[in-house]
Amino acid sequence: MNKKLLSVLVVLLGGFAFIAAALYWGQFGFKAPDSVSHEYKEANKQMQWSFDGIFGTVDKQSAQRGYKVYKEVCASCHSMDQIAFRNLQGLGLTAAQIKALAAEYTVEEIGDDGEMVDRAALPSDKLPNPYPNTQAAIAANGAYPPDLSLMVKARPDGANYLYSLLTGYNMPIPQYNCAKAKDGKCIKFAKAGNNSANNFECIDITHDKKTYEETCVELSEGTYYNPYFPGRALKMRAPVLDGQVDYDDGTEASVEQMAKDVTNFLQYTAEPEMEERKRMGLKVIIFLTIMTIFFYFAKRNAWRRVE
Amino acid sequence: MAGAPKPQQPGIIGWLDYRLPIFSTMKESLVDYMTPKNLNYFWNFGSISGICLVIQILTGILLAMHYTPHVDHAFNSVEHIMRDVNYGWLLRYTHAVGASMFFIVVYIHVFRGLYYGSYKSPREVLWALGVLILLTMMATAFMGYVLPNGQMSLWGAQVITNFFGVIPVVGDSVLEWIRGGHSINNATLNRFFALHYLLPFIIMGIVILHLVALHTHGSNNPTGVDVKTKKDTIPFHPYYTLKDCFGFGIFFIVFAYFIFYEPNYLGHADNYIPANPLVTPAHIVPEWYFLPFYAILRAVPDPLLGVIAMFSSIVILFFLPWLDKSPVRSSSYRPVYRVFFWIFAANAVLLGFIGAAPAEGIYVWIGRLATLYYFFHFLVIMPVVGKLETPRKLPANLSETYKKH
Repeated sequence: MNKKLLSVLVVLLGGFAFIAAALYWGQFGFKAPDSVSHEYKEANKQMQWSFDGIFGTVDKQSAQRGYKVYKEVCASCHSMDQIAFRNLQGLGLTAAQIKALAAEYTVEEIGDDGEMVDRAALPSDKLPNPYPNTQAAIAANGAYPPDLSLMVKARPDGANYLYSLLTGYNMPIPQYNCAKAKDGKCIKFAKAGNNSANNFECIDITHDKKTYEETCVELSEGTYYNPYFPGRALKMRAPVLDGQVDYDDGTEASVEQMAKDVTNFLQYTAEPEMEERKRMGLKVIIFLTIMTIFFYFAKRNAWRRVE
Repeated sequence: MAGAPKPQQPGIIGWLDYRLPIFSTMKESLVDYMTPKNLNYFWNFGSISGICLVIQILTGILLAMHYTPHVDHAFNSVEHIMRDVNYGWLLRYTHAVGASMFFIVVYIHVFRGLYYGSYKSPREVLWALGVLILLTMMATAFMGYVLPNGQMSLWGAQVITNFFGVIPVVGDSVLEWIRGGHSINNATLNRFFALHYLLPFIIMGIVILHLVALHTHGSNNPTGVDVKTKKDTIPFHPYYTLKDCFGFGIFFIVFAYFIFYEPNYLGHADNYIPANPLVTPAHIVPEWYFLPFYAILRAVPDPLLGVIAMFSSIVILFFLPWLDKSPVRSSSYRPVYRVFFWIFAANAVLLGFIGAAPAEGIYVWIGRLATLYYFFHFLVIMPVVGKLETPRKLPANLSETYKKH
């Protein structure tokens, strides 16, 4: 009875699967279907970060340099709303240094007479926003420069993504050759060949799954090519050039160095509790392991009595 | 009044217990309670689920002391908790990871029930209460995820509240009533906070009923054969209390690993972007524990039928005691059904992956096949295999299968 039943059901399931497969295949006229999702962006460069792993820590020297990069380059457009000056103590700066740092900035507040007055910023104040509101930020830049406090957590594989993005600006825009034309339109592209007259600069090739036509996405006005950005083009031009920032400790400020330093800084701003969290984790897991081993033996000891 | 209470025992405990029998009830249900002696580690997951509920309530109440349920302040209040509140990051991560752990543990608990036929008579109501707990957990988790007001919070809320918009005739009115306005706005966030705080206590009430139902006929066991004599059982304490403590230990180690080393692994990066109604995320995905149901929803091309299919996929669980026509409870003695159980489990995991994939190309077709198979398992395989299968010979009693260790 069992074998018969099993074989009936296997036949039913098999038939079911076959019919479904035939229907699926059939909708394409029995040709191989196109790829489901085209390459949206280049995979991020995989770097070794000091904060990776269960014993990871933030490289404070690098993060301090990164703060300088943020302050001199990024802060003109990007806000850092979650960070107050006092939070920078985790970078290894002293309270006095932070007080002096904060005092360089002025902050508006309501005076005793009801009018707005300027005062020097205190360590308890948040880092200043470059624009008074969102609309001003968009108007000045073409797109809204996102707040950077949480950027490392707000993007998948955030640290590697940020580093790749900042060092990804010097890539040449890919060239494609028109491999097949129809009605004066190019309907199929191939990687660049010798025929330079037919070469198109494409930041992306989009496929139409129904007609199998391809469209070359060209760079529009005000956008810049970067293969690590989703969609491969963004409104931010390359923010750092070699030597743009003068490091206090004398480190050479190449694009890679600045990208590394600012990423370390942004890792700190996104997760200031990280080091304490990982330290506590070790203590907790060691404690739990000892406790679990104890309970295992206690359980075994008690269960020995059960017949 | 059910019979005269026992005479007052000596001491303070005796004085209190004579007036409100908490201590004797606890002794009856956690110490002297007779339990089958052959339960395996899959029976640990009920108590672990209970601990998860307690942890969620404790961390949740502490978080609520610092959270602001207003669209202009919610995101920043969560960051305030993460950065300024002492051990706020620990509370937040425990609560977020805890929700995922709660679902992993409950799903294993449900699959234990499916494999060993724990839903069969006389435990139909126990099972139904369990399904009710699952539904309430899902509502609670959904509303909780909206509270930080990140991009996924907002857009997940859009998708899920839209389910109610597809109801014919009254759909749009119901949708506006639920949202408290024409779109997801502050009224929505505020009421989700109120309900998210409320529902866990409702869950607690249903859990108590679930435990009363359990204690009425006692636990099922891996053989599916009822307890026949006292020899088949052992007192809950110290055997299952100790075994549960060991189980908690393993559970907490896994839990701690995620909290301290990979707290955002099970989440979505987009939720660290403040909610923006003008920008739609590239891929709107719910949290992992909703993915199979999301796949079922998207598998059906029609919006109303998709919502009906999705709700049906959970509601069908209520009917399992009547869909399964086998006279044998445990799959250990059902060699044919056992194969189908594992195929079902694999299919459920597949549905989870499909839920995370974009609704394009081959994923659509696999999703549709997997959805059809999900219902096929409950509506065809369970009754047919149950009826026609020849099960293995059951042991005379569960003690026969118990090996001393």
